[in-house]
Amino acid sequence: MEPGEARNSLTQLRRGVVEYCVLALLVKEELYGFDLIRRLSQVDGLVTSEGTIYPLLSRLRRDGWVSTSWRESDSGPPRRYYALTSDGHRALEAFTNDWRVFSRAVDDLLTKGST
Amino acid sequence: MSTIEDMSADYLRRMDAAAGSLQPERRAELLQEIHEHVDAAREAAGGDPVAMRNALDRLGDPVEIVAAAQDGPALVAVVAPRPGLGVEIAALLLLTLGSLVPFAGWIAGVVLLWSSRRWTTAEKCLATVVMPFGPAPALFAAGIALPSGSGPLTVIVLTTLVAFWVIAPIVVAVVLYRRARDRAAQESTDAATVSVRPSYRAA
Repeated sequence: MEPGEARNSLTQLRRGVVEYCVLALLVKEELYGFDLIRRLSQVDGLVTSEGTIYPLLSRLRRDGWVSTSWRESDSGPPRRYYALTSDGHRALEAFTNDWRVFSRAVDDLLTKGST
Repeated sequence: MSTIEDMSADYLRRMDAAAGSLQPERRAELLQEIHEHVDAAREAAGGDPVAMRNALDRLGDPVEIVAAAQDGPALVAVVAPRPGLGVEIAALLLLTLGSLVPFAGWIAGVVLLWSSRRWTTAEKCLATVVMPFGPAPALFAAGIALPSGSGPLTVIVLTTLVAFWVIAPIVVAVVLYRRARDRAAQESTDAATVSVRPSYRAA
């Protein structure tokens, strides 16, 4: 496989995974968009265009996986904070279980293939 | 060298322009978030233009962001796409070349035209009206008119017939083919987006 194709499959993977990474970041605390995206971007290769996370957040809100609330900020106008809902919790748990099984299986296969 | 203010204003202007295609409610929400993000980035940059440039580059191309916002909840209802463009190509061929078989070919084309979900009602009406029985009747008419004399009037009449009855259907067929092809491509993109969202959706 050409390196370009590997990158392309990474794009596909990223698309399916990034929303659960967003949910995971909200487990411990509520975050506002800019802060959430900054943390997400610290994971190498996960986010290519930070702005596309906003439509994703909007979709998660419509799906009822996250909720939003306005809070005053020390500097400037109020900010929209995102919080995980109970539906979001359940979705994240289900994904986490599947992901463990899936990633272990793929790891095994990749390791076997390379020896 | 442009200042932080110029960079922000330029980015937000491009963002506002790109968002024009979104539904009003979703556009307002997205623009508000992006404006907020740019404000926060300006604050974080602390007067450093390079830091601001990097922040805007990371935020990404406004067109790409708007494209991501267009993948809405409607996608969930998307049915599995029918692969290929067989029906559409057959419809367009029957409407044009098929008209050489008197009536039957063209009528079969109309039936296929209206059975496809890749054209809007307006496009279907256009294709039906602009191709009344296809270009073949124009050729027959030309064949009858030609032997009866070739004065300048006949030439003008024939030219008009060819223009309206032969060229127009072909132009419409080409336009409709392109639209069907683009919509088929969009369908497979949509299906890919749906398929990466498995069963974790709340019941």
